[in-house]
Amino acid sequence: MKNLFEKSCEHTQKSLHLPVSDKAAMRVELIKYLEKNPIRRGFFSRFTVLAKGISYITKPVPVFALLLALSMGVGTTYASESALPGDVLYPVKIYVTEEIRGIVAITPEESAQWEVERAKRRLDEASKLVARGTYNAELRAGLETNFTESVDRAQKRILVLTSSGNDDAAFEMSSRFESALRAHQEIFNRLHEKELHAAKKMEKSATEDLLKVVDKQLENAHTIRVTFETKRVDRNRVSVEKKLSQLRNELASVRAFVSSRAPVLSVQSNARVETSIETANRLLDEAQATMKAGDLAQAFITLQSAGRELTQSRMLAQSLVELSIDEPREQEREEKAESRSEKREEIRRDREDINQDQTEKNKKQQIEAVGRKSLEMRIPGEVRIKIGR
Amino acid sequence: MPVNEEKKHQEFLKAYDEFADAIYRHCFFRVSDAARAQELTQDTFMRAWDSISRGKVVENIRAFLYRIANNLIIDEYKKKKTASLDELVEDGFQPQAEASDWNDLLDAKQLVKCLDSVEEPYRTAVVLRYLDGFSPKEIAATMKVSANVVSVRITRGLEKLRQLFPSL
Repeated sequence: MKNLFEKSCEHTQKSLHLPVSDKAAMRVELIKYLEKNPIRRGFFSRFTVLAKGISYITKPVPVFALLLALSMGVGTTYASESALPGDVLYPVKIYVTEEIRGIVAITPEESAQWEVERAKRRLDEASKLVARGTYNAELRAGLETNFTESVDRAQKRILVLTSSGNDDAAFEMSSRFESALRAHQEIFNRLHEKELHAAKKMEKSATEDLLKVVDKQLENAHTIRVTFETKRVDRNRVSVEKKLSQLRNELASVRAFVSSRAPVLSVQSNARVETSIETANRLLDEAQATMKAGDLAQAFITLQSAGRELTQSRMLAQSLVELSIDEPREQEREEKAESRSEKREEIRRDREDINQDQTEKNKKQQIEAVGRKSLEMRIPGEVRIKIGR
Repeated sequence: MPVNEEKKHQEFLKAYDEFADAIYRHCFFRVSDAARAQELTQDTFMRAWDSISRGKVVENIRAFLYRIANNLIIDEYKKKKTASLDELVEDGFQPQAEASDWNDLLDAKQLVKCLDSVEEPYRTAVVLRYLDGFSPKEIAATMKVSANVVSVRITRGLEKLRQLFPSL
């Protein structure tokens, strides 16, 4: 039965359209727009191919990377710094700017430091993508490969340092890397929790896989650290005292950093980071006592622990803010809350409608089953599903 | 211009020729304003080109365009939440008063005024179904909700319409 509404709609479908002259004018404008915004391929197509097949294609020779960077100019390389996998400039970041920084790191120490930095970057990128909800299988493969490669390279460089006798630098580096891993482990755990609470789940939980990768590397890093720690080295008092005062300064700066971010973090997160800082403080006091007692080697090890704790708290605070894992910032809070409650309202209404529909269908069925007799009807209770807290 | 690029332009313009009217119609029945609907149509195509020129591979251009238009319309709603009611009153068109006189087909203007009184998300579902001619399955795929939800929304939307305008 085609009612008036349906018939009117059908008629309108055929009769309502853009005025012919307007449509033509708009077309002309559109053509101008197409000319002004050409297809962005050409130069980057090679990189796009490379980015997709990261594990299969050998990386370009460093010299090539340098030449490219020079020809592209400072702007592009600078802009690529914040690129994430999937962005157009991401290949530039990986194959150009990072390669160059690798070349520029001349000493084995700088080299190792840079590889650690690279590995940290991969973790950072992964956590940003997960927080956004865009961490899909394709990106995952590339990122994780890059990450493990960076870690391997970092470890090799650290070994080079130890074999050349520079144990301290090696120890320092692997220590810092371990704390970066721990900080990310915590972040990924939080993201994982969020994922579990969210209505939609990403295919094959991205965070679970990430956690596995990080856990494995953490184990390695831990093993390496313990190896260093068991190598008792004769330390001189001056260097240990110097490290202690360095770390006290670092503590103060991390405290300042965290208190500047405090308004943006939740009570829980603030407490968490504070606890970390307190632990570091306690360790520093402990190290001082151990030093006074004459065990310089142990004091040094304790100082390393304190350093790790501080790095962790700084990275944690930074990531929590950057990724908005915590409570959203003031400006975004309202918008997010609004759209979230709108979505919830939508879902609730749909469920209600479907339930009502079901109830009505049941009613009809019951009536039919009983026949036209006027018996007492049992109407099934309404089922309400509450969504949200 | 390289041949490949020229070809892409032609393909895109072909999509414009084919779907501009449909997008315009959809926008019109959602925002109740012909001029604004035209602007939104233009914006929709420009945004679509932005994505395509950056390498986005689009399998179903029609669905893609509708999705973009839908997002633009949602932004539109956020901007003018209170304006539409005033507009209705100003126009002097009182749908309820005239409802019983309808025998002939309603024109676009009358239809849009009727639809104005149907709240979201039912309105959009009805528009997509009866004015854009999508099947419930297609709507589900385009708007990324389940087909069940779509059917229910359409039913509810029609019910609301009939409540207010029994002769429909």
